[in-house]
Amino acid sequence: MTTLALRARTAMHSPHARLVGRILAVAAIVWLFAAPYLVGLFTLILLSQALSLGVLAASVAVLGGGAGLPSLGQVAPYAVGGYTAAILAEHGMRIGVVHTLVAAAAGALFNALTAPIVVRTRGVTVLMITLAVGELVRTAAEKWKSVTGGTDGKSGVPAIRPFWGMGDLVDDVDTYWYVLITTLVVIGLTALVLRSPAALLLDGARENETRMRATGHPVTRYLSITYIGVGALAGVAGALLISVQRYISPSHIGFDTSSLVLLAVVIGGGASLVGAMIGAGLIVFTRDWLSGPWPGHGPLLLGVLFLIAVYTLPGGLVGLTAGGPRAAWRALGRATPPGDTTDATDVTDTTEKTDKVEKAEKAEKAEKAEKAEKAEKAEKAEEAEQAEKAEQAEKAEKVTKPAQAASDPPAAADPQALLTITGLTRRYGALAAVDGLDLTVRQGARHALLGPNGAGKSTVLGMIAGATPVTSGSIVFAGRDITRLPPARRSRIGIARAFQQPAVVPSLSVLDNVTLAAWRHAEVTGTAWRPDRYRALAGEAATHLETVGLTDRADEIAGELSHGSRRLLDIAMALAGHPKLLLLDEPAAGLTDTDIERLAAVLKALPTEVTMVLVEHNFALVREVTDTVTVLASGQLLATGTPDEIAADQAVRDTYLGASEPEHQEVG
Amino acid sequence: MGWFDDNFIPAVDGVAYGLLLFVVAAGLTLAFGSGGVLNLAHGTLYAFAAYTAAAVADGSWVGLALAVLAGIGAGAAGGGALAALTAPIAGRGHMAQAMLTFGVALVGSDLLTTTFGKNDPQVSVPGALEKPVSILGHNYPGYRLAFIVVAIVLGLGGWYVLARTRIGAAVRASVDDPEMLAAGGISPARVRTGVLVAAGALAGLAGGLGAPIIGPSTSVANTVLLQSLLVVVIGGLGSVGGALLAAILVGEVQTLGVTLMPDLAPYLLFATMAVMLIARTARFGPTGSRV
Repeated sequence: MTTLALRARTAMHSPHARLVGRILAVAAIVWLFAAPYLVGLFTLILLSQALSLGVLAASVAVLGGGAGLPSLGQVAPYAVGGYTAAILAEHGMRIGVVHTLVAAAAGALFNALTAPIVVRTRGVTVLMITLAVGELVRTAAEKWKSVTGGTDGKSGVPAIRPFWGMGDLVDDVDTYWYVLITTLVVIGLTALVLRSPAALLLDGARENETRMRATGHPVTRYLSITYIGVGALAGVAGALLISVQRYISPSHIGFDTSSLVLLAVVIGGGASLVGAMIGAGLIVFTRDWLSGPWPGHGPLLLGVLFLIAVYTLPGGLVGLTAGGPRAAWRALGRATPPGDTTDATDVTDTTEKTDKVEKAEKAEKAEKAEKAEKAEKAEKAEEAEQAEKAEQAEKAEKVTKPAQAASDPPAAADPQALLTITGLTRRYGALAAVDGLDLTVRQGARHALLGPNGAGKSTVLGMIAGATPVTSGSIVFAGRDITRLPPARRSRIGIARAFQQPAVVPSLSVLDNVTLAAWRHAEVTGTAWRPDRYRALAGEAATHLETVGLTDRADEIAGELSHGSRRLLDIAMALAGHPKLLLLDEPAAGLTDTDIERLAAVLKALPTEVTMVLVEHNFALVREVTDTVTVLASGQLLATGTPDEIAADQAVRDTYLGASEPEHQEVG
Repeated sequence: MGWFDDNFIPAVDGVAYGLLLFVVAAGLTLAFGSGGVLNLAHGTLYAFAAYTAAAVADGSWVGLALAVLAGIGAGAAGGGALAALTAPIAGRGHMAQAMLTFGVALVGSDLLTTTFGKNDPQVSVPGALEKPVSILGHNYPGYRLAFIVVAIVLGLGGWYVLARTRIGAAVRASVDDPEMLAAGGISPARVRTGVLVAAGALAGLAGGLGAPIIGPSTSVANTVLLQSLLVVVIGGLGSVGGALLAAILVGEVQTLGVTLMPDLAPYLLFATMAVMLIARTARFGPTGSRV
């Protein structure tokens, strides 16, 4: 779904496509209002059904394309909403508005109950789980006869009236008006939500969850809220179904409906509400049109449509032509006035661009996965090699000497200590990547962690940031034990992290990325629902782009940046949280000389309130920007001292420095 | 002993049912883990094989052997077709391919109903296997016992192939790192096709052997798909031991659970899945990969 959504989204990026999309949407709405005067009764009934199904499809589109949770189980809240409405009507409550609201609440409640399972999973696993959730509800509808009427379902549900004092909806034209207006209201509300800055949170969560957590965003909460919200949307769709056909049975909430809805989303294009609505309409009408010549072959036709859609519409209809309601918010990120020339890149050929973004993202992902895996493998291999006992004993001896020389008092009760690590250990099976490490980082220190590959440096950073679970030992930050705190919480109390592989949200602009990173740390509140607040925050965040020298690229798409620029953006994102402690993992790796100069300047200019822990192989940079160096080997402390002391230390030179410093060619 | 007496037959039944699901789920895991395809048409492959086997089986031993072979052939052919269909969009990620197999499942189920009719066919097995076998004073359907034995033999054989042969090593490597395998001179496209054919053959084998246990019907594709997905989710993606345990668990819930708690059985599976997911993710963070 990510790919689909991305293509759709990038296509919307072009102002031309956005315009076409708006015209299409307006034309569709005008036509829907004119329909009762243009088409026959039968077509009108089909339209009502398509609208109800469209609301359901929209809920799947938001969940899949927005939050990145592709679902086959939205029939569950749909069923809950439908049965709730039917039961309400049977018990004499026949006011449409009440039906809609209660069904929405019931659908939301149902999804709130299943959220703890669903939001724990990602990708295709979500498909499996939600498929099971849907089946569960269908089974319940079949078995729980006293409430649902069993396999026969609930038929002859009394007609409803839209509002107190209005007449019953017995006429199909009246029903159509009711369904149309209800649909426009709920879809309009959903579109408003998706146009708010809050939608950026979902983009971030979908595309780079780790980065979002590392900048303090409670991603699970965002996903849960979205999942509950689409439950309400599906519940409304269920209530609409009842008002259209006044009948519901388990056959309406089975596999067929799930597939219909999913097809509507595939046709409509990942993330688009309008696309999902149009997709639903196309399906309902095509099915009806084809069922004449081939009665009883619904699934076959559906399946063929599915195949055609998957092959020919990679971005869905919306990806090919138009921008839906989501198009507008991209402008939110622009602190600079529109009309500046940086937009030039945006108007290039859409297809070419989508391909590029997709490839870039894929390449990045592949690279990331590969590197992560290789790094892990390499780390393990090296660890294993170096774990020879004799060597370790020798090193352990040497630890004490430089540590004393460096006049760096041992852990415990140092009032100046910002970060105190005691006995920190991380095991992968039998292998200890970090093994009983004690480390103190003073307030305001510029502390470098050095060591050969596999020494456990990145693992230490990962444990401080909270991304890597601690096997044993403790981490105390600013007087508080944070050993078990989740990454987002650590970010909010002032620990920021730049990643070894730059972590950005690829489909968003550079400025949007930094703004997202500043979000949870800013004085500005209410950012999610107020574009003006978002713009204020973006203006503030832009200063961090200035710091790293990316100001003139603020409007570029982060996924299209070169490696070096992405690295600088990653660092800007870490800075955007105004951290007390900044963790940098090999920031100079892969940078050009100019970029390294820029990086050194940035790091030297850090205010003294910011304490820095830097993992780096470039010793020249380490010398330039740090005041304390700790050398790790095999997950243990080898030496601590000033950069000059370390450079002069024979043990360190033997194990490590020779490898990266040209003047010492002895190689470790 | 009364409780034991009452529940012995469903319990053994559950083992047979579970082992059958295990064979199906093994194919599903193989296709996903190694081929990168979440095959939502896997249940349809099972149904195709089961229908084919039912049509071939005539109650003789030769008929049974032919039925199983025909089932395997049908499943493998289906797997090959899926490989060909998904090949053009293999670069578009898991979701697009899952969607495609979903379309294939819809088309397939319709074609099966059209070809084999709406009435569920009876599957004839050789007379010797139909006779009840007496275990500990209980009469037990012979075919299911025979199936348990065959499934165990097959499981050991499968383990041998995976763990001890070159082909097995290639498959394991392709699960871990397909690109590395490509760098080693083995074409990932061929591995992908091979894996999908093999996964189809597993579904076919299950369908051929299992037709007398989970018989061909219009709803069998969905049932088998859903339950094998549950097995994979409960057992953990990529864990063979986990999948085996999960399969037996699902089998027992479907048989023993229905006998003991007929009202709750449909929800038991879901509850199990929920508990397993929560337990697992509490330790390792969100499961499943994006893309």
